[in-house]
Amino acid sequence: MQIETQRKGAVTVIEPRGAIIQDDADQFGKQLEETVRTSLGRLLVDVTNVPFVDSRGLEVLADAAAALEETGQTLRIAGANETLRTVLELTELHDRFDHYQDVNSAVRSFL
Amino acid sequence: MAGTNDTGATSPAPRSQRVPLLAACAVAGVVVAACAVFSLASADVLSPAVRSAFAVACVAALFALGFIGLFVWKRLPVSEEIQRAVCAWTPGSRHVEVLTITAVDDPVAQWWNELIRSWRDAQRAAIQTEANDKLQQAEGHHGFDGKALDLLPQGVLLVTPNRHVSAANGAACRILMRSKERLANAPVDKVLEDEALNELIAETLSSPQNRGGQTELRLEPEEGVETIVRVTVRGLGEGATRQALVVLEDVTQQRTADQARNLFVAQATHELRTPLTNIGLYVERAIELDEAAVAERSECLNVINGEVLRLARLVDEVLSVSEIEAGSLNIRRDDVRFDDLVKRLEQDYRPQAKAQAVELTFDLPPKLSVVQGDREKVSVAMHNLLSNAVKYTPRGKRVRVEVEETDGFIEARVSDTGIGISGDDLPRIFDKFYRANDKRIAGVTGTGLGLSLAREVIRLHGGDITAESTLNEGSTFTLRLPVKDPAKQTGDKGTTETKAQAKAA
Repeated sequence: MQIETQRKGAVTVIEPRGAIIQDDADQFGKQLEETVRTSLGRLLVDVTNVPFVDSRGLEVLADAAAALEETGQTLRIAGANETLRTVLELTELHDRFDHYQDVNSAVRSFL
Repeated sequence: MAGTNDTGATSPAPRSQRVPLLAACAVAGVVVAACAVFSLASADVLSPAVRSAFAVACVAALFALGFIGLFVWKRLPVSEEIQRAVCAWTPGSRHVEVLTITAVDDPVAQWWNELIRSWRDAQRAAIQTEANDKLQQAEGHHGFDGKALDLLPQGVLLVTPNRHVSAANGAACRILMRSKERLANAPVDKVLEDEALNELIAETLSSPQNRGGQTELRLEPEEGVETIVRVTVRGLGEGATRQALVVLEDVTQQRTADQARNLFVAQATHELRTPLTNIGLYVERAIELDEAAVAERSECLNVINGEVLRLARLVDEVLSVSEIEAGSLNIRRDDVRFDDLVKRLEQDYRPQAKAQAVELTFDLPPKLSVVQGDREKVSVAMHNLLSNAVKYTPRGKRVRVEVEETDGFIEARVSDTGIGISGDDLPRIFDKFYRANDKRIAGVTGTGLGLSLAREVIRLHGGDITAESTLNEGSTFTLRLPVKDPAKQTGDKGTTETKAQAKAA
């Protein structure tokens, strides 16, 4: 899995490309955890190119959301496809995140 | 009070029945004892000395019994009152006053009442402690030390009169990149290293009339990015217990957006002014020219026409970029024959390349899949890549366009042996209005929007544009476009969709 990180203004956009599963989930989790810390919470996850996630992937996302919740923030997710949204709803994790259709609207939410 | 019995427990016999019984028992006891002493004293089995001693002992014992009997007799009413009170008290009840004796007033009753008072005081103290604990618990749920402030996105610090941090919420830890343990009891001037801010906190703490104030702080952590924090200081309480509440708000994105907006306006104004100035100058010149100077007038009109086209292109690009940012850019889903599109590019750019003495080559495979996408916008993206390559490639150098189909993607590489892009500029070339800081391109016209627009458009199609470059050696831009329509993969049958829909797909 490729993980791209870019800056949009003062916001860090972390973009995993590929399914967040198994060892890839751990790799993504480490990078996400580091980004949460160094970006001071100004980050969003662009999941436009994530076709699906497994339980480890969900755990990684939930952990990042929990870390941000402790500091009064919510993890922003942009571009989740139907499969991802359904998985998040079925696992009742949907409300742990702020959902945006695209990166630009997610970045604007920091204003 | 004493005498009542709420529990229904069996009450002792009434005093009027018990007194004669006790008196009769006492008289009978004395008579029996006297008879025993008399019989022993009159017996001959013991010596006279032993009999005398035994008689004295018996008399002394009788006196002692008499005193004890008298004592018990006098305490009988108190003990009965205590018994009544105890029977009247409900086990577990907090109303211990019911045990107080009021009918009898003697030392035992006073000691009893004192005991009950002590019990009552202890009970009240326990109730007070319990109430205080519950109050503190309730305050904890809604107060500073609780979880409530951790829900705030703004950081909050409480500063003691001696300027130490007494409490911090989760957001303060995030913004200051320190744990709660590290913030607790830390000197505030070590946490917020800003002289003006610390003066503001000191002034707020020193005077109840000082309402505090607001300032901005730039935090430059050892790792991570510079953060701009708006700090608001307010005073709490008065006198020696006055504290300062420091609220930290991360405004980095707001400031960055302000800067970007100002830069956008400045650059857009500059880009609009340049062609407008040229148009104005050439219109003036055309007016001043003699009617017979047809050739010169024609030249003026050509320049004006070129500048109008440049203005139109700039306005189109600005509109497209703003539409992308607003999520309202419409993407059509046409059948795009990429090879035809590239052949048209070849026709368009061949003369320009020839005029600039740039060798332009195209390498197309014999067959390419039809791409589902917006023909016009994909064409604009390819135009922007190729026009940049031709513009920034000096005379005698080469520009090459290669197209191939791999792994379900059409991949178009536009490479040149031109001036290249420095490592500092490369990460920013897709930013809006960004133009590389290179003196060699100062004379080359450009809006700084082309690459930004091209990449956004291709990303809306599910593809991407990437760039590699070496300064003074050349650049390669790679456009990857998926052959399959992402919208159709998810069952979207629409022919047009907005950016947001495309992203969702």
